[in-house]
Amino acid sequence: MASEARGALLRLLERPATDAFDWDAAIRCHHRRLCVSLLALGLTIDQAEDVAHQAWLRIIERQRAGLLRELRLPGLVIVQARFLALNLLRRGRRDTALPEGPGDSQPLAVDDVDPENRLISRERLDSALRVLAGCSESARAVFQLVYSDPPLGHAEVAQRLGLSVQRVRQILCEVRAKMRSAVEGSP
Amino acid sequence: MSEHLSEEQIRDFVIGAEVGVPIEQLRAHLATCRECSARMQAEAQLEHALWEVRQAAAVCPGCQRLSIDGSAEQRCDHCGAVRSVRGFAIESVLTQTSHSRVYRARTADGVAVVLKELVFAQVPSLTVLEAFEREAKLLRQLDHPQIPRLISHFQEGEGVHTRLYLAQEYVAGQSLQALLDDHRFDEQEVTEIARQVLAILAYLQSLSPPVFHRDIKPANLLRQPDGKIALVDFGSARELGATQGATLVGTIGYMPPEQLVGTIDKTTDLYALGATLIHLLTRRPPWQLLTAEPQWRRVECSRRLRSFLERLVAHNPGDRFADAEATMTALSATDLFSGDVRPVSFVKAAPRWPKLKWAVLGLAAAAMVPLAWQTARMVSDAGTAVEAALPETDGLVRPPSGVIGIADQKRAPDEDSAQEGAADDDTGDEALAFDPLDVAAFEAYQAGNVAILQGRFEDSIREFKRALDIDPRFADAHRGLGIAYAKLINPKQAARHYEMYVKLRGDAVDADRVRQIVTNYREANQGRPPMVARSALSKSEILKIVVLSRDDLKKCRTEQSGRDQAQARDEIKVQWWIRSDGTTRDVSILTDEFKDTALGACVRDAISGWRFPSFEGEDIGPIRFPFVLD
Repeated sequence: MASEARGALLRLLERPATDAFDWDAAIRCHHRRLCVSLLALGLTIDQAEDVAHQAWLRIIERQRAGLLRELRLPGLVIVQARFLALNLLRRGRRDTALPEGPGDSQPLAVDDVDPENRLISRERLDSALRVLAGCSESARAVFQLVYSDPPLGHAEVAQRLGLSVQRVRQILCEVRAKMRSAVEGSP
Repeated sequence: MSEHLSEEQIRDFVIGAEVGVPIEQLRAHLATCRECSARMQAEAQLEHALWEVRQAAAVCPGCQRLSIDGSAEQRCDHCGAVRSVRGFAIESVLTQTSHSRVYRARTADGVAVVLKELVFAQVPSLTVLEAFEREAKLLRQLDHPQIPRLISHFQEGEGVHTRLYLAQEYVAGQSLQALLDDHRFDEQEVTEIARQVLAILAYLQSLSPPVFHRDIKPANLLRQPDGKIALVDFGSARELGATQGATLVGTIGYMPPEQLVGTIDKTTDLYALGATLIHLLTRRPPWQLLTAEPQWRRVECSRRLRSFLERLVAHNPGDRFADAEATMTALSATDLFSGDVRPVSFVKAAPRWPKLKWAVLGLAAAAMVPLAWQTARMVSDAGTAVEAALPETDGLVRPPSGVIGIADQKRAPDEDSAQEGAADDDTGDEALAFDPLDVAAFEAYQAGNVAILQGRFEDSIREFKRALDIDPRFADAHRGLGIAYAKLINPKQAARHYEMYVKLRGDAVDADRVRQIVTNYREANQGRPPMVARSALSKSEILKIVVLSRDDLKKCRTEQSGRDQAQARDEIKVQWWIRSDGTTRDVSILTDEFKDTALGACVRDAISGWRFPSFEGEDIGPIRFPFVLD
């Protein structure tokens, strides 16, 4: 199934487009982030790849059909992909009465409409922001660039900040370690 | 691959770093191992959450800090810059003052705009709000390719939180004020700027009623990438005929005298344009030059341009051109560039830099004196004929003329710039008004001095030339080159640069002496007997070396203090001779109690190592000197 969606996407991209939008570049830029957001929902890696390809396929088709008023990436494709993913997960629950992924997975539930969950998400976000505010200037700068839009590779971040790639990764790991407790809700 | 992936491998896979194992192998493992898959999903949740955090933590367009407050507050809690307002997404802050900010922003359609925000410390009065409306109305009627078009204007908030916004078309380019930092305008450029600005002013004056900008200055003129000049900041503009008693707006130095009492007419902007052009030519703010005895007339430019500028900045409005149209005609008729084009313009004869600046710089130069003396000793070893003819430098490059002893120079009075929305103050504090190019030139000059003092004459030449590249009229750099070439026994070049020094700094205290040196060099070049080495050392020359070398003897005192402490505070008289090559001989201790002591031996050895300038003739001596080592 994964190869089917991927094949369809490749065929679509090979077709001559009427617009000048560089989809190849867009996919290169945002695909990893898209997959990460799907994995975070509890999909397996194959499922995440498949859903990501389907999402790209849909977005490109709609854009080429002139159905999209504005194209904001990666937000649009992530929303599309998470919609597909939640459908997939619901089907899985219906079929097996269990999530397809690891049973104890608790995503950040940004798509959850439950007010209580939304509040918890918001509190975790605030907590993470406070942790970030407490980080050093260089840690914040690394974080800012690594998670910029479009995202920058570690080598480019290192170049911009005048650090070694190794140091950038080290700082990033430190920031992640600090943020982990905040976003995972541990004290 | 081991049974399970390590934490690092999972983390690196999620963050897109090098994992260390083939990615397909890793994926295959994740597809089959539920435990690793679950760990990877947990890591992905963290990564996804970090993206959310990053999105929530907007970067302030003003201070570039990550804001920890997401969507609730649209204003940075650190610097106060707004992030978005009325559909305008703020990209950056261009300038800001205590009462206004100018942002670069984009509309929802992605069009780049400049958004001017007026902020208030107290509730804005009705008059202020009306003035804002009037400015917006005035801007709306303007339609000129070199004036940014008004897109919209609006008000946000109420009471003390009122913010007034004007959105105008974004004009890419640099202000002439900013260009002054690293660019010297020549006559041709200045005339072209005059032409373009006059065309804009002619358009404004052709409107009914005519519009006066009232704040023409380099900061409000932008040079676009295609070379076109755009006139911005109409915050001071009025659409009246000649009027009296209006609020004082404008910028001191660029305003004609009558604007100070609120009188404006068609010549007002012309005067400001003239002041702007003079600033561009001289790189000095006009308030320094447009004085009762206008100093700017000493500017080195063609006579035609000077006459043109004289009429623009005439004290009496009646003596100026009647309006922009007439000025354009006069400028075209003048045909400034049929003849000579001056590449660079400076104020003639007047000291290039304020004296106080030199006083500050002089402190640095003075700090180099001890090093200079050391070098004097070093270079004197060469004992060349050319060196002997140096203008009493003793190997020391003097600080720029007039440095020493003027530290009590009065500061120029501070003068506040009255410009509106001025993020680009031209304050008149002369002591702090270092021109970056001047500083760059001085730094090169200073590096040249240091190189000379260290005997790196080729390096010093390169540095002095660098200083002259920046400022071709930097007299002291010529003097430095003269010395450096003299050291390299290149009298022709030395004479050339000394000559330039005298030409540029004819009133320098050492000018006569340098003239004499130049004459000597010229004569040498014409086959006359070259300069001769000094016949002997003067008493003062010997004294200088002795005084500077005394530290060697103090070291002896420190080293030997354990053994000869009781005697060390006493006077120790020493005698020696100086050979013609500058070395010493027959050093002896005359004070009996030190003759056979370790301290005496140390002093003797130290003086034996001293080097004096070489000379012709008999050895000098005996020299007897009483040293007190305490």
